[in-house]
Amino acid sequence: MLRYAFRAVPWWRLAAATGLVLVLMEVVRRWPWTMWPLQGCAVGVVAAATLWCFDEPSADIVDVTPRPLAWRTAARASGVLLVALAWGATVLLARSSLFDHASDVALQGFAALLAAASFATWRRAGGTAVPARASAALVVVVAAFCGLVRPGFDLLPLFPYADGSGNAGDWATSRVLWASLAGVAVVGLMTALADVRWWRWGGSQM
Amino acid sequence: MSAIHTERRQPDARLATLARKDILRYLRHPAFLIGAALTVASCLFRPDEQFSSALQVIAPAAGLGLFGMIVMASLTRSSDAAAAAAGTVSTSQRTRTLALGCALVVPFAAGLVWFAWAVWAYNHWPAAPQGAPFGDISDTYMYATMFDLGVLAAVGGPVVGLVIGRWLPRRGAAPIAVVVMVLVTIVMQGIFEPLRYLRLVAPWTYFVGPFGTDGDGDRTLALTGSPYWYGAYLVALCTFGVLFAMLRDEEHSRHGLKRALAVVGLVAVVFCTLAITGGPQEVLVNPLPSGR
Repeated sequence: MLRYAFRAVPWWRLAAATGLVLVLMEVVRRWPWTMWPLQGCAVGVVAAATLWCFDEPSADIVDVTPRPLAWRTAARASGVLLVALAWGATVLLARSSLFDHASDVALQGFAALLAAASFATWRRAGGTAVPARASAALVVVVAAFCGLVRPGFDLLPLFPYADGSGNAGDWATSRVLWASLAGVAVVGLMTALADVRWWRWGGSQM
Repeated sequence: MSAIHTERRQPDARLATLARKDILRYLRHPAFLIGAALTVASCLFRPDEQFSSALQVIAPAAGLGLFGMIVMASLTRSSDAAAAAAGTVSTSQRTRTLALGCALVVPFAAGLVWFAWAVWAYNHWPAAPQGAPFGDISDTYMYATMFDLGVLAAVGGPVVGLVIGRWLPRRGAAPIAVVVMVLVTIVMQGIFEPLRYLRLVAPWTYFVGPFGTDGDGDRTLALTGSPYWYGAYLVALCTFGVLFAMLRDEEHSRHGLKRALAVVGLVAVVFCTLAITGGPQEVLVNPLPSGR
């Protein structure tokens, strides 16, 4: 499994992405009031890096090997583990500058990671070889947009800041949104993996 | 005579056909549609009371510009993939780059639509006296900033995407470039005082905003520089970007392109210098407190 993970996960791209997350959160730690939009960008990069972990450019060959998708997903999760560790570490390091909401910020990253993993696995189960090709860039730019422009921040406070008063967005609502996303993502991930197992069993019975 | 005439017309016809296809591909790209939808959504809310739509320039810059980086990098990659799949193609990479450059008409038109809304909103919901314009800052000055930071940013982003698609055709390059662009833009937008004078070298920066003074953190300031020359500088930068992307084609002579790049680069430097040294040379402070 480790050998597969070593060869299959795009480690260099992951290293670049996690490095970028470290830089972004370090900038946020130093200047939280002015550089806060970068926190949203960092969440987007976490999601994109997770998506990249599940790309399978050789799907035509790999998908017919005896290893089921669940096994390959578990192997590729080592890349996701690196992203999760990097995110946890950066939030821990920057916790003094996160307006006493380090746990909420951590939740945003982990929820984005779970959602990305769930989406990628679902797409892989559906036969898409490289789910990140269309979605990784999109998720980064959407997160950047939401961090910068903060559209409808009173209804959809994805990246609140400061104490959440006025036009800074509401932390409690944001927490509910991200926790819901994480919950849906976990269910989606289980369903996608289970789907594949059923498909495999159906195939082997034939 | 007729054969020569047809041969001479062929490259133009090919370019026109490719340009039409690339314009359609740009229009149909999901990233463009999502970015445009987000930009439209941002126009549904009443603009800021103190600056009206002038402070909403971030929406088209991000929704059309940043998304445009992704769109153009993706279109460039798929154009190359199609050419590679076709084997020997009669259309050169330079022609394909130029056709992709023609597709810039899409974000430009979308930016113009936003600009029309911004001008309407600016007059429909005038800015409060504590905001901008104030003193020597005129409406024309405000329109110029909206055009530079809205319309020209909507074109500038895709130009960067085109350059990335040509020179860094690696997966992950475009999204990382988006984040780097956001980082650079925030640093250079005028928040940091030591960078304020030279901030106009950056491709996106504010001219007016609630930058604050001692004792009034949200006081409206008009920073130094000329938005008119800055617009000219951005146009020169976009031209430079397209030429630089065309330079990637190694199959044709690049002497003419290199000369053109040198000239456009020089023009950009001159315009940038004029943007920095023109306009107000001291930060203007709105005499009215922000009240926030």
